[in-house]
Amino acid sequence: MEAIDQIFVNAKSFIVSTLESLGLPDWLTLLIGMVLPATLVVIVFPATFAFLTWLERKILGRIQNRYGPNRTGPWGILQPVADGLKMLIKEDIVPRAADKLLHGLAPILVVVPAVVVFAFLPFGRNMVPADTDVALLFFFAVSSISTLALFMAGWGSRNKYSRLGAMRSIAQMISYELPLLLAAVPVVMIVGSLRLTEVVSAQATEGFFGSFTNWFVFTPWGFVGFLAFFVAGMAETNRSPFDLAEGESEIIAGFHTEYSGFKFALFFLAEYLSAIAMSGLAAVLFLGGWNGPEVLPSWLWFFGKIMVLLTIMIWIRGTFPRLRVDQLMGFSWKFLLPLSLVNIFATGVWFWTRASIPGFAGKAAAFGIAAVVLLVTYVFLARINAGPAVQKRTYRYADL
Amino acid sequence: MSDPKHDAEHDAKEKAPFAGTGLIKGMAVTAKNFVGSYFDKKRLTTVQYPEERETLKENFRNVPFLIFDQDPEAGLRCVACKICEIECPPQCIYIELELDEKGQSLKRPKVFDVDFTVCMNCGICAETCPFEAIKMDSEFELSTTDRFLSQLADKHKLSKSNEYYHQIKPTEAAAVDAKLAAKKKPPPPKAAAPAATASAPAPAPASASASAPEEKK
Amino acid sequence: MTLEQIGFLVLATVTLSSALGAVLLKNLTHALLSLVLSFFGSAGLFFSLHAEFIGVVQILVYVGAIAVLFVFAIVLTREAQGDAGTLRHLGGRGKILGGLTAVVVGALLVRMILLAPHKLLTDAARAQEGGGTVGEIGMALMTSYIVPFEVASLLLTAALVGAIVIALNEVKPAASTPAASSPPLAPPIGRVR
Repeated sequence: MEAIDQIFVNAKSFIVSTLESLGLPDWLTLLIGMVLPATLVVIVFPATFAFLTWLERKILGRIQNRYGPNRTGPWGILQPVADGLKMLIKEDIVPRAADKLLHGLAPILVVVPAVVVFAFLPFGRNMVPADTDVALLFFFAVSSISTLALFMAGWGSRNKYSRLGAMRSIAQMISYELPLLLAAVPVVMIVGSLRLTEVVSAQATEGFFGSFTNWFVFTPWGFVGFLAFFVAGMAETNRSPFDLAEGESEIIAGFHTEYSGFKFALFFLAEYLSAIAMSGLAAVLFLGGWNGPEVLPSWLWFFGKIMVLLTIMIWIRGTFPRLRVDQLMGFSWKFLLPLSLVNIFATGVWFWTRASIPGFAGKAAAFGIAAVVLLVTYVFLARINAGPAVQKRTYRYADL
Repeated sequence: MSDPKHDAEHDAKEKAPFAGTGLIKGMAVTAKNFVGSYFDKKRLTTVQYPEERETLKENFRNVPFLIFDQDPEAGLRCVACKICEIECPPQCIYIELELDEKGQSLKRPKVFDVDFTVCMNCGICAETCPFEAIKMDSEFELSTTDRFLSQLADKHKLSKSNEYYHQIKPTEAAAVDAKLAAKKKPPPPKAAAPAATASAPAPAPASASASAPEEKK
Repeated sequence: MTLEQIGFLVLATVTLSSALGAVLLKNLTHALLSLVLSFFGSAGLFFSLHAEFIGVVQILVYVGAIAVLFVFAIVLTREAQGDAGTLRHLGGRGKILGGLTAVVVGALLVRMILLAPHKLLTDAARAQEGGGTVGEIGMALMTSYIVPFEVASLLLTAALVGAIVIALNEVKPAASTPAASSPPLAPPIGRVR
């Protein structure tokens, strides 16, 4: 089990040591040592993206009382291949009035942050492509670049629908960045570091049950933080029901109206890769990262958690109608933001109660107090955000 | 007239549920749909066309066809009266009467063309035919690669046997057969023989005049 | 020519040329994007100085927030083409004024750079100190620089409240006129059942 767990790490060190013994210069072995994990990421995650598109279509189909694609290969498994081919061979139409620099640069600038962000996630034990001190902050900084790229896409197309879509999407993304970051702050508070590998190790203890009882999602602040993070993450990556920016039935296709062929495929790729990255970060911060009972290797646990979160995202997509722009903004500023702020406070209370009262009593008291604080805030926020109470519908028939 | 009891109900507000339970209920519904689609036929009603086909209802109609009894040439019921050509709303039928050398009508069509690209499947031709000669077919897989001539059906392509009609529309075909048999039925015999001989020609035109309004119906 | 020097040269070229582009480009959106590129260049320079936290915060704040602010400023005030309105109407006076400003600011910057104590930590010294920059910055913010921290947070709160007040004020006058009796504001989040 240990061998399978560390298979990628051992493979990389084997390759690097062989290259060193072959007498290659130092900087080249260093470069290859850096390029290898990057290559693996670039191969694995777009493959996950292809699988995810297939999974989404099948699950949405079943939810909507129909089969998904089932003609291309058994269970339609070759559908992503067909889609990819289609995107590649479609004609690339650039509007005559479009700003060529912006129009062409935008898809690239959307994909690059989506891929770079994977460098900071710990996929398994000792498996981080870039283990930096400020990994969490890096993640958020890089993912905030895509906001600008969406604006470039919308503005450069010189199309009023694209411009509308771009403005809406910028407004949406910056308003949901706040709850996203604030929901991750309690984790940083408790762990004491921005290093994601430390966040993962802080969620594991000894023993068989140690690998999953310590996950942050089982604490009151972790639960609320996870929900807030997950919802804000879905809104950040423009996924349903927050996909007003690309509202397929409303403003044609929003900011990517004027894109066809491969550029559209790049936007599509960026959106799904961001969704995978957000699920990955949620798993790392709240669901214990690669921790899990020893029956499976660590990277398989991480992958499984990402898949579960993605399935929940698809499920949510199939259930809820799209939020209107004012509902979207109101939800972020009036509900998620105060909730995340109170969550930070509740984390502090939890930690302090735990530290002052020793033993199980301390833990129980901490759980209770934090849970009560959060529940009260949640209900209060829900009440003040609720619209007028819905009248009970009765129908008056003519009395004959 | 306002009923006070109804008014009280009308003003009642629904008790607000706990925030977020609506979302959970919605997700439970979709989850039930997802899981149920694997077990319950009602939740997955897709028919995998063209491997599976839905059975068509009997009164499904598409384009018209001509009926013959036994022989495609001699048994063709159509007498080229041109009623269907006149009644057809988009004018998709073209009929030419076959004449002999002297110019007399031979009571059968020389040319009977139906343009399927024009036909609007209304069935008025079948309704107005006095001779039960043209009926509506349920064949719908008529796609061809040529847009024009292969969609123009001639008399040969339109002629189908009465057995085929029984196959696709049993009840309708049985009713049509009964009607035609009633028309051909010999007149009922009378009690007195001279009355029978005297009235033999009389009931014959009587029955003919009786069946004529029946046809015109 | 070590790798570090090459890296510094590249980063410096990118930063300077994009900053020049931000000033000289005619198309406003292109100028904005070149400014963003200069932000990235500065962040890169921070990374090369082993100050990762500052570099990341530079990207997060400048590119993620300030550039977006510029975007809104452009989008809400400019029409289709987005050409940079120049101060050409100032004529010769504009050039003198601009040149004077550049000289004064440049002199200030050079003076600050020359007078700063050069305490650039080498790798060895940094390894001795241990600990990342994050902890040190946090510690400093909470102990030595607590007053500026609190003042900054008060300032930000005031800005937030001011923004909300301005946004609210735009709606009120429309509702107060008797002729235009606008319908009541829509509920914040409609709980549609």
